[in-house]
Amino acid sequence: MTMKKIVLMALAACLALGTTGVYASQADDINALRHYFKKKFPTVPFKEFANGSYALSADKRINWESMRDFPPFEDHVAKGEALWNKKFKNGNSFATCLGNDVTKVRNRFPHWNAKDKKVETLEGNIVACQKANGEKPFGLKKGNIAYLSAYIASQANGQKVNVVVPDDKDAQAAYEAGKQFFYAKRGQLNLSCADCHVYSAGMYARGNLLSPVMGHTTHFPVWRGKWAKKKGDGFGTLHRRYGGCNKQVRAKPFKAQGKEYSNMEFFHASMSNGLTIDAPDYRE
Amino acid sequence: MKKMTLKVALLAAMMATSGFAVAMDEDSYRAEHKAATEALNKAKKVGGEWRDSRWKKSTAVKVDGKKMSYLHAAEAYAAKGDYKNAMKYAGIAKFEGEMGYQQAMDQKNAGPRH
Amino acid sequence: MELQVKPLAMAVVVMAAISSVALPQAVAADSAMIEKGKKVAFDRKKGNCLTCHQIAGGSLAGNIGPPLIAVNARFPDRDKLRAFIWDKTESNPYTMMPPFGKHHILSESEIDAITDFVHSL
Ligand code: HEC
Repeated sequence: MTMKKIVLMALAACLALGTTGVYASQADDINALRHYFKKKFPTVPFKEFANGSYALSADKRINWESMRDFPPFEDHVAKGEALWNKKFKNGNSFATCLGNDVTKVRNRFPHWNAKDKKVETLEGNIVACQKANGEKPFGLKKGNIAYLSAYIASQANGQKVNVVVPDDKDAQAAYEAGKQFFYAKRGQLNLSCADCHVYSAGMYARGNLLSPVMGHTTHFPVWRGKWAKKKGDGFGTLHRRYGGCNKQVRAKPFKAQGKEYSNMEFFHASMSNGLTIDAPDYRE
Repeated sequence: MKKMTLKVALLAAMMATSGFAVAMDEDSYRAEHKAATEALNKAKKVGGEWRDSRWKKSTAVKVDGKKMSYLHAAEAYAAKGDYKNAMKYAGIAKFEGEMGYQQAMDQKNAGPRH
Repeated sequence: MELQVKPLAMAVVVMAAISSVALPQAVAADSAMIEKGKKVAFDRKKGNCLTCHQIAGGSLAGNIGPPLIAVNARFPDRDKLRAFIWDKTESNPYTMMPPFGKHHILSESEIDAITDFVHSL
């Protein structure tokens, strides 16, 4: 490929995404996936991918729509709103760290922190905010963290995901590490995230219809029927889901909000760029 | 008298050899446990650990009604002096550490192919 | 007349003997293996084959892999089939099929049984 061609392609990719200064590899990855899924699911409109497997099966969709008529998570969002409005002992609040306009919080994450050279996530920053203000930090996978994250995300509903990988070597390395994590086979069963959510998307593993990766992060946290059967109240964060998907291939799950999952979120959420935030949501 | 000393000597010899055998079993178990831990640490460094090798929440093996990982099962059996089972589970943990490391190395350059 | 009946009767007796002794015994040995293999294949903690393959007699099967029908037509060579189950990544590193033998997901005897079962389909 000639240099000119590469530049032209990158330019085209930037135009297609309607943004400038996007990391070329990220733009290529997004375009490649869009083409791949368009070929695989020619009748599914792009925006429908935010609905996961419910975009692919009429039967599953009926069940999902009826759950959404009487969402099991309304109380959770209300609890999250109360947490957002509550003052810390020192008089500060989450708004002190995350900004006063709650509608402008969700969509800034995940992002690259150039000073500390790391990916920042919404949940990671919620907990960092508590620590900085002498508050006891939430657990990372369910409960209060999921309530607050759900409220904050719900206030961004209707906005389009737009994860930016800046022109920074370390940021790009973090993105590439997250991408490698997603495509690497792991665990005793030797399966990658991509094995299920790219190459087998649309197929059934037992009764589970495998969702395409594109659209995975638009609606988190989620209320899951399966989680509701366990301890807790069915609600969980994206990193809780990551842990579950690692465990089922018999790989040891990584720490929620650790480097591995945060880097993966940087890549994973990028693959939903251009899709509409609609959180929280119900999942099987 | 003669008979008596013979009996005592026999008993002493039996005790000595059985004690010796236990000590040997314990030694080989300690070595296997160390090898397993080293293999798992090596796998961990490259993000290649498997679920049931030594994860605290693993439910792979049931020992006395409690569910645990292979390495924890090895330790539980060793604590009871059952070095045969302790060896077996330490061996599984070691194998998983080695395979997990190898797998992570094989997947180092994993990426999209679509 | 008598001479003609006798060989026929004898043939019948011999055939009955074969079918009641020789044949069923050979089948019995295999069917125990096949039955064991079926158990291992359907057990969610063992082969869990139904996650990806439709198999006669199993319910709620997935469709990631091909339905397991007429397997012995596709794999006349049992050893090839066994090697495939033992470690499919050997021939295709991208396969969705877990390396049941290589990763010790199943024991060697469980793989023998599962091979017999799948080969009988
Ligand atoms: C063995 C197949 C399999 C593998 C491998 C796998 N998953 Fe999943 N995943 C599932 C199933 C089944 C579901 C539930 C149905 C669905 O939504 O796809 C799911 C759901 C999800 C969801 C929720 C989707 C939604 O719409 O809310 C996310 C996010 C996810 N997986 C991420 C991952 C990541 C990241 C990895 C790699 C660490 C991974 N998965 C590996 C099978 C798999």
